[in-house]
Amino acid sequence: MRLLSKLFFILAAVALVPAGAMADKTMEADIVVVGGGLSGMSAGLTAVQSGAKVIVFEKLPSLGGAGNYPEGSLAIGTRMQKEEGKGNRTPLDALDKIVEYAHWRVNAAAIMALLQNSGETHEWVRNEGVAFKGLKTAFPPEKTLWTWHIYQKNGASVIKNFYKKILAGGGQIYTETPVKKLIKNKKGEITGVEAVDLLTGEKITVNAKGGVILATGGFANNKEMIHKYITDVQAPGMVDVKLRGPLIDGRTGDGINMALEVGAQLAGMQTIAGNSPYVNQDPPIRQFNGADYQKQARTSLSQPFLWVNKQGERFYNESAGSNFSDVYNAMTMNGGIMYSIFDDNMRKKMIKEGPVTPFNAIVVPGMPMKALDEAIEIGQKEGWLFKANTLDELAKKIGINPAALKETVAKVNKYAKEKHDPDFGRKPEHLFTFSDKGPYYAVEGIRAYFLTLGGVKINNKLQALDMKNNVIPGLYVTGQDMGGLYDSSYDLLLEGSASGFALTSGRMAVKHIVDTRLKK
Amino acid sequence: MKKSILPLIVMALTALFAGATMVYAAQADKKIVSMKLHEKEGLQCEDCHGEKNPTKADQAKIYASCLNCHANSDGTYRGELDDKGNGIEKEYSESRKTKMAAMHDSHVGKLRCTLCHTSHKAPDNKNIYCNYCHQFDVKIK
Repeated sequence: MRLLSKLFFILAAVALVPAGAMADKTMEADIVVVGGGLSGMSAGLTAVQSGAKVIVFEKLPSLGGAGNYPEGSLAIGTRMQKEEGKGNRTPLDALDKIVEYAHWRVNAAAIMALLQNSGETHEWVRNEGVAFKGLKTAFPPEKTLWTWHIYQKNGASVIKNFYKKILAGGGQIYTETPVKKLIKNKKGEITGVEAVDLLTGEKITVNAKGGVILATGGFANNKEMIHKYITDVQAPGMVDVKLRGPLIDGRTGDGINMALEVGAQLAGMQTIAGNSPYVNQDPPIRQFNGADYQKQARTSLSQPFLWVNKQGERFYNESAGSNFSDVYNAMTMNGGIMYSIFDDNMRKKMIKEGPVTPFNAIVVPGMPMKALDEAIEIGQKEGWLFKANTLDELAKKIGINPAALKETVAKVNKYAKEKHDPDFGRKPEHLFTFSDKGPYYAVEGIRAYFLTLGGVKINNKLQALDMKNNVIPGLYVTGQDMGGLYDSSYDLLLEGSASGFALTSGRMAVKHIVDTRLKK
Repeated sequence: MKKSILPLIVMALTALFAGATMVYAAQADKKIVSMKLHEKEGLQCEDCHGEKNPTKADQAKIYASCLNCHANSDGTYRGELDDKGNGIEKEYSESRKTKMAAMHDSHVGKLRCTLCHTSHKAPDNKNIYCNYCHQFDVKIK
């Protein structure tokens, strides 16, 4: 009887397992795309339009991921550049700047291939009906490459346009279905994937005749990997860096880790796209897309009035406060924290005239910062903004030596009078005199980042390379899963490069698969 | 040997149904909040789940069931559409500003209805799916 009841229990238990968990579905495809962000949507639509059977897997319920956010994307050699009379930059001009910025410590051939295909990709996006505002730049005319093509409605408009066309064209998109494993045959070729339907537990195996494209967006939201690979996060005494990303963020390194399992090599893993300064309020993304007071608090932080480090000393040329990548690096050299100081006249100036220097394309000069007083109020309550009647009192509130702060303010006032900053070269028109009367304000700034820049080592066809630098046939890498395109920093001069390269790489990978592996 | 196993299988299957009924009963005890109208209209489990005694939520079946009644002409539900088939934008309050959005013609793909419109438990109005990025001041009916 005992045995019988035991057997009964086991059988009952087996019968109670949802049928789906045991079922196994196998599908055939020409191309499998892992990840439904900008790269994945670009790959998906290119595949559909090339007549290839494509299946896109996305582990979240929604498509687009961080690819919904970009304000604009890089492209070179476009109609828009000609229309606006800014069309004289070539891929070679851009490459020259990039390799100089990175001391050639980048995969120049892959970058060049992306640059050369960026113009055609942009024209395609535009012809599909995605609306653009025009070109924008954060750099002066003599320096800019005019690569930043600004969308009417961010990257989200590309996702919306593309996903509908992928489905209408017969492509399949599976959401809530993470790919768990790449399938490799005896010849070392990648022939498909294994995925799991999160809702039914069903295991899905797909044989991909042409290949698999990794488009999982890097590892920005994998804390363990960030701490393992990003050297400046681990430095002693550093205030930790924060991810400025969506609140549901699937970028946990899936593509990179699956590529590692099949013997791929990694490159450039040490680099994140820093984005600083940010106000120390969670979640940082709200300073990008939240209430006006949040956007304006962030903007006040990067104004060229006075920035000091924990020692009460200047550490940066505040005129370049909009260069969020350089600011990240300078803050990294100063413990990962800063304070932006301004007086009451400067506060009034921001409220009346808007910022002196822009915060991305979000709060720009000429846009009155009417919510600044609200930010000052909330900031004091939450402890990231400080107000005091004297500089002594302000210094004490932020834990800085008052003598040091006063000395720095006196120095800046002298430079303002002389219209010359001999220490950091701040522009004369950005040198403002501090009043000898309070109140004074200090906004605390921390470092944020929005992308990881390292990933799988690739060739200029975006094929993954193994430990001996040989191609892993059938495995392609796109977007933030690509490694080796950046050295120590996100090169801001290439405005919109991450999203531009994401779109371009998805398209290039599919075209290569169609022209080679599916032609046989 | 064969003789002795058969009754065991029967017993196991009985247990499966017993378990199923129990799960179902537990869910039916809760009030349907977000889709209470369905209850009033006299819809049965089968109408959404596609089976009489569902043991789990097969989302593909449920999605198809929603669309049985709520689909636009193209077989998806994207709210009110204009002549070109694009969602008609309505006014929403977001971060204390008026924002125009066609909430059901989402830019992030064909979201399953039950992400927001829960049936057996109260909807999480603070965390509707859009608000993982947006901050729409909106409540789920």
